[in-house]
Amino acid sequence: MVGFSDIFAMPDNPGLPAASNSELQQLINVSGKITDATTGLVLPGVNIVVEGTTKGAISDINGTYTLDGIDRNDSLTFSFIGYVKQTIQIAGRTVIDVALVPETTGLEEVVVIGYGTQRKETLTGSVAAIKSADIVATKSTTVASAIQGKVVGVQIRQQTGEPGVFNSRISIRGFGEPLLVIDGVVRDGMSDFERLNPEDIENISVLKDAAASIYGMNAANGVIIVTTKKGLAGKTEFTISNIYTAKTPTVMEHQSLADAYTLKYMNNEMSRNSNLSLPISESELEKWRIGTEPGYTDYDWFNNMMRKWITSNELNFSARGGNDVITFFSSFGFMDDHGYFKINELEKYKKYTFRTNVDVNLAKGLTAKVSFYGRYEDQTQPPMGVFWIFKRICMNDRGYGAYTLANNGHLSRVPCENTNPIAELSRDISGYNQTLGFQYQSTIDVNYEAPFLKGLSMGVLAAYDGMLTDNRLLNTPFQLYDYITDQPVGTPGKATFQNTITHMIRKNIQPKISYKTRIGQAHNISATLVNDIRKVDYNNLLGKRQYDDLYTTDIINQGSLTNASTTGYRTEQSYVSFLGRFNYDYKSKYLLEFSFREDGSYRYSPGRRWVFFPAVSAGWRIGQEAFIKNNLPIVSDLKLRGSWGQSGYDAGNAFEYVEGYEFTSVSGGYVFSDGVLTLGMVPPGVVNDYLSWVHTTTTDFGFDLELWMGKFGFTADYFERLEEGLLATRVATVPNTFGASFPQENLNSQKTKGFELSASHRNTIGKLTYGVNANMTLSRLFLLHQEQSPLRSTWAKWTSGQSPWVPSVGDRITGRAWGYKRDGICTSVTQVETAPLMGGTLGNSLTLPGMDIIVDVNGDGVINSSDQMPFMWAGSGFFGDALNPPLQFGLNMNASYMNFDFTIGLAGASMYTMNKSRYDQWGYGTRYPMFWDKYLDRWHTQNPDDNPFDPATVWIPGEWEALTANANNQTTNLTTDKWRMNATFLRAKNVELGYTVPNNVTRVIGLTGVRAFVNCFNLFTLCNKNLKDVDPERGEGAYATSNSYPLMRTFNFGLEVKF
Amino acid sequence: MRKILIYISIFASFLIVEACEDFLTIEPLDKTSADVLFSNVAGVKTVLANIYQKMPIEDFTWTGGTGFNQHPGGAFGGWHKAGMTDEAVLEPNTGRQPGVFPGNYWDYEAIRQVNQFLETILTLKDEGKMTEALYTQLYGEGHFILAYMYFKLASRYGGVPIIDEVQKLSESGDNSALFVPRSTEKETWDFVLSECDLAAANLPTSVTTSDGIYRATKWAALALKSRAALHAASIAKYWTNAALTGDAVNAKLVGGMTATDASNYYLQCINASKDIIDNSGKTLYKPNPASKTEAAKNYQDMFETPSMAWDEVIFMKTYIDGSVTGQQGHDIDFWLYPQQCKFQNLYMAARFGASLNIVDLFEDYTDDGNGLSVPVKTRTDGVEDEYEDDPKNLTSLTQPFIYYDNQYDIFKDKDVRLQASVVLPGSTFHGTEINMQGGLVQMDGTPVIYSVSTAVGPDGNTYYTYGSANEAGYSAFGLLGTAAANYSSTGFALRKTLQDTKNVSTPALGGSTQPYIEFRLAEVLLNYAEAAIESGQGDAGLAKTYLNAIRKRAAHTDEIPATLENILKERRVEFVFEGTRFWDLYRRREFHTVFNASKRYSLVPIIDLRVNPPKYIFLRVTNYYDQAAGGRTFLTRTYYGEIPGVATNNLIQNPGY
Repeated sequence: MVGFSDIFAMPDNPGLPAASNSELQQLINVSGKITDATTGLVLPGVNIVVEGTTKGAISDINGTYTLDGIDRNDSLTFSFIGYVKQTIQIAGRTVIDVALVPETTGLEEVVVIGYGTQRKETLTGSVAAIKSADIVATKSTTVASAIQGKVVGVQIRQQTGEPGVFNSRISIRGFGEPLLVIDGVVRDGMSDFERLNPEDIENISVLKDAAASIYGMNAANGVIIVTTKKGLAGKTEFTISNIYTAKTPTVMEHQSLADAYTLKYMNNEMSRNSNLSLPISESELEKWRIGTEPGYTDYDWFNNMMRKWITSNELNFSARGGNDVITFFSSFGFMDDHGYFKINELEKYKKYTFRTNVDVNLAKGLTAKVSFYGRYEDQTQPPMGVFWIFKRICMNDRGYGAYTLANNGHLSRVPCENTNPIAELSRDISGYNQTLGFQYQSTIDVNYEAPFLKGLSMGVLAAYDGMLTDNRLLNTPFQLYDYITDQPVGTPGKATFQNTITHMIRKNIQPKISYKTRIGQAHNISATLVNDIRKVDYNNLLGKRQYDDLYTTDIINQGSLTNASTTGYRTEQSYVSFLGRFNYDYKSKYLLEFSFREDGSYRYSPGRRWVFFPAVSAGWRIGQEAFIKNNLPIVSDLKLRGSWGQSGYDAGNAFEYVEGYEFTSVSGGYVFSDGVLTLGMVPPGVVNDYLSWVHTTTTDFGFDLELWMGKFGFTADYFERLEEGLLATRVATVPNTFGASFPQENLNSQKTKGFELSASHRNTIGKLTYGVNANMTLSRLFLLHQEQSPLRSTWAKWTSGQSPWVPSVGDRITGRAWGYKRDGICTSVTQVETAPLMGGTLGNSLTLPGMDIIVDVNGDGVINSSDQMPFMWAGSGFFGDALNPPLQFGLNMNASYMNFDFTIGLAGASMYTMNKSRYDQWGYGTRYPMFWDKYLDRWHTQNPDDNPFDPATVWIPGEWEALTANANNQTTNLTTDKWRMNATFLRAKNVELGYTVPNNVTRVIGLTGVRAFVNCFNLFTLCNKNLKDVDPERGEGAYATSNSYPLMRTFNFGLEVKF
Repeated sequence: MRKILIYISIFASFLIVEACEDFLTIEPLDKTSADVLFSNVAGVKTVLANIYQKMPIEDFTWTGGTGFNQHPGGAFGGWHKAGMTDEAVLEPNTGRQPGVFPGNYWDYEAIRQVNQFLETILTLKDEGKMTEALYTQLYGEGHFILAYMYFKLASRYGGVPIIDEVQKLSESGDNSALFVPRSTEKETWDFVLSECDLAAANLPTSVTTSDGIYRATKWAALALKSRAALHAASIAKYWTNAALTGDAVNAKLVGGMTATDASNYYLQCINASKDIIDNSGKTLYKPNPASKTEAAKNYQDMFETPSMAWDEVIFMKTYIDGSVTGQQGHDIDFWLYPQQCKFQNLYMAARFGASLNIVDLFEDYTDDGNGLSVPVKTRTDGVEDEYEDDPKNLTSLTQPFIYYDNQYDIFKDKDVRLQASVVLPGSTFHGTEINMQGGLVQMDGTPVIYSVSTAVGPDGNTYYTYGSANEAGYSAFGLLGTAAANYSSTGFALRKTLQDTKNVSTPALGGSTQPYIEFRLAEVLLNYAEAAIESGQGDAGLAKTYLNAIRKRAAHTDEIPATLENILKERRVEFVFEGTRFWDLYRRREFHTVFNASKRYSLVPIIDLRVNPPKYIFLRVTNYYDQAAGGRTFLTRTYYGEIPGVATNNLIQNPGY
């Protein structure tokens, strides 16, 4: 909430030019007293700096200061936290007394809200704002990681470190993906937000409650408003920054995959434990142990294929300046990123951004803002997709080399995936998947301040955006060979090339009118009316051809017509909205806001098209009341807020109300005349006139408190969001003779509840200025109505008739996972004999010491699904919901001392688990032959040859149970909290140290500012030790959790130069 | 200037308010309204294409397991219904076997679409947007397709819910009216026949090339009626041969038809058939061949190139090349070519072996005036009903075999329809002489059958079990029981409908386009004959005329009496492999008697090295797969299929499920 902008802003230097005439230089001593302009009390601790120098002083307990030997032509800057900074020319004076005017700190800030701005002090909604300085305080290549953990209520979770993949889960209060508004226009989604150049952003506002209602349509999940930088009148300032990045994966356990010998040794042990014959003889095993004979050597796939470090580079250049008539901001950004594979041909990402914002004063009162944004992206990926290649590299049998024994030009076919990642990563061998993206956004915003009526302004905003993506997918089949015999395996198919082009065009026009006035001295009134019209068109074309004989070039007409295919689609969307907002406040103390929005979507039948979304909010700045002011002087501000508002989204398929015929696939055609296929048109199914908007109602209560003139700040909010009319198919019994399926209807409802807290402290002690901000958000989902078949038993009701992965229905909380409770471990074979039965028909005959004893909840002597309990938090990953963990928190600290600045941002989450699906852990489910070294700490027999089922056998305990080939008959196969682990974590998301070269130095070399910095993202993570290898932030991935592309620990080295 | 700007923006605002409802009303780009579609011929065809395509025609793209319109490869060339009878064996042992239900058909979605079609054209006609003439034809086509769909339902399930309107969801949420109970079996058949009448009364007597000749005519509707009425009559008459019990029977949802009903249905079959025979102008294709050779060619041509045979064909379905346009064409040549002609290196061939049972059934030309079947002659003692169960284990062959100089001579006097329908050992297919040899007898008298082996003959030459040194040189009995068995297990392969004489170098998946004949005049003639003889109605004299007209086209010169036995045998011979046998066994309730513990037989040509020069003997054996299965059985409940979804549609289930 509270910006640190004042702390981190570069010193603004209107500054005087250095005195050029040395004759004028006369050194004098200056002293004075500093007081509070409103109370007249003396102010100790005020920072006094001689402009352009490092020379300065601090006022003492009596508010007095003294500076010796300074130039008579210099200026002094007086700054104190909570007061407006003043700069005074000495002009030869020796006594300068200053009365500092208190600023109501951040409250004077103007905050961007929907279709307008508002002074922060009169805000009634829950709006979080973050400014440029805070965004770039930690330099990052994506906006998402730059603001992660910094904004209360904004939950961000990174999912991959793959270059060019922007899929962080961004959610406001756990509601889901928010709406993105850039410079007043609803633009694309969060992946677009992540792609923004952080350097371009002036500020970001987050509308979290009814304040978002003004955006109505699709604002139900909250709104993120991005405002880009504008020009500033004055001398043109150029900024160049270059960030060099070095990255390494946050999880490196892959490096400790067992070698070929160990795997085979463990395979024997596993078989012995499972009463199976040994897969490999002792003599063979010995050859592997020696590991020198050809065919018996170990090949470390992971370390041979993966880099330890990756580098990337980002360059930004911007210019900002202007005069009374025209101001501009212009920037260019370039980013070059690479992947984690050593063969680095198919994992590349380049991004170029360009932005120009120009403000023109056309005439008195008439202004125009013209902005243009362009982005070009070039992403290359392997045709197979990085996920699968990464998985293969983890799972490849290390007993197989990359090339056959006989021919080092022949790529071998490697189990268990039976392919070769070297081929799949080589552009010449397997092809490529390249996506070029061109995006442009242009906006013109004309405003006219009516001279005939003060406070009246009118304007029109128009935007024209477009996006063109060009995907080229070349698949060239390749020949693999048997590792031992060098014989070709399989026959490669035919090469194919596929080109997909999608063009999106979005047009938006917003005529608007607003009026603002003050009646008497106390009544402030403002009103805004806007008409928002939007049209979005998509056009898509896909062509695919194969190369019958020889692959020539990757152009569609080089392929043959055999099996050639084309497809495509075009869609149009239209939206119209009328919206308005009325604000009233009395002496800025009693605040009232009403807003409405009437939204129309093309999607529904005429009678269901329009929806009305009202919102009201009120605030009471109780801190301004005399009884607080007089009795509690430490309270500098206290505001109580409440809001209620509705919004929604237009869900469901468009045109369900239209009775129309549609083409079927080719196979639905019929031949009426020889050689002529007539494609079939299918008559409409059930026409759905009733589909309509999903309604949401958001309620929020909160307060903002500031103490000691902003030294401490607290904000707390309680929120609820009700969603009604979520889509579901009615569970109605229509007979299968009806001949059509039921359409989707607005049936389901759910509620999200939670609260968020934020506390901040900032202070200046001597030359040290620092700030701390802690925030947390808890958000839970409750399903109120889920359309489903009636539950027929109490057990079904208890479990909601759902598998443990599906949230519970009713007013029960969601996000619980069902599993089995453990009660210690078996320590001997005899103990196994009396434990509850879990092995189905095999009883406990294959259970071994070291395995979990499962609590027989219902006491029937058998462990089965009825013994599960919902005692764990659910996961948040591959199998589970796509939401963020319910509890997220952040802690940010920053400090500056002299010319150094330091920032650390911690982010974390809790109330969720991660399942290291043992089915995918070799030795505990046998699915893939990869074995992590950490499982060597396992229960095993003292002598490897001992019969594990003999009670006399001596066992060596370990952390993990004994390896077993058939987990179906073991407690190991059940979901317990041993394998589904609490994933609470706290991560040093970003740490940054910067140094700003003093002005008097930079001025000498003709620059206005130079800053160098180093920062690190994901420096360290505190979490369950068994999750360190899979990264709790990323969430569960598919296949053994560890086989997903890792997040990166990123070190950035940057230099920023202004001139 | 400023004021102008203000006015423009305010004015624009209002204009937009006015227009916003229009602005939101956009036409979906992927949907077309009925008005537009039916306003021109091309549009009408697209709607028709959808419902014609949904007709459950058991063609080359159908299989009982996976359903209709399987492209490509899904139907393996149709998994011929023949393979579900005693006519043939589908190979290897993965085919659809006898004794099973032919696969569900419960496509009420298609029925809904036909009903929508009928309602739409009525509305358009009433609104004056469609001419009477077009309406009449489309009305007829809609009812023809509806009749066809209900025919397939009735023949699978007996009585079914009859839904002849587009059901609407109730606004109140009370959808009980949607639950239509099953009609009785009789009501269902009556509905099928009355729909045929509606179709026949409105359909044109011919269609033009520009309309598309693969569309229904009045005669198609009557041919369907002829077939359906005969089916219904047969069930009414023979229900007691395999009577069932249960709720569905009590409610007459299956069975429950009387002798009067049978008589009535036979009469309807007679009348519909007679109408076609007398008025359609259809004749048998080349009814008077000059020679047996010509007769054989004519008969084969009719199936290989049905478009030559419009004289006889009443309705058929055709295809375009699926190897050029994906999801089209059929695969019958790809899957069923003999091994020696198969599409090299890809998948399998010869998935269909004609049984010895059907081969034996054909007449020869020596049996003047009685039409008796003549089994192929393998032995001098005339015993032709002994079969070796497991020839692989034979240690000696001591039967009095007839010695033949080549593999083909044993068939040379048979009805020419045999050589036109079956790839016989020693015959030529697609330019290749087909070798079906399955064994040899060594000079010392030891037989080697069904396994790769060589032996030196008395002439000093080397002889091979399968008659060839390499796999490409023979077409039968190799790798029996394995998935790689691209060989006939019966000693016979399919010729009917395959592209034999055409110059097809490589049959591809989806690459076959020869049409599938659904109705032809020969069926109508035999329907008439059967109905007349079964019911004593109609003209028995005409029955004899029709029966012998068909034989005459096959180069028979004698006339045989129109006994029921002769008529039914003629159906099996004339319509062999066309799927007729399957439904004949069903409707006449003969499946369980023909198939209980029954087996299909193979004929193994064996080279006998005991004689010099070596000659062929022929061994009658039980087909490998039926031997392995111990014969086939058919449960009587299978005469009616299991009604799908009774848990939600509240229908009464058929007996035995």
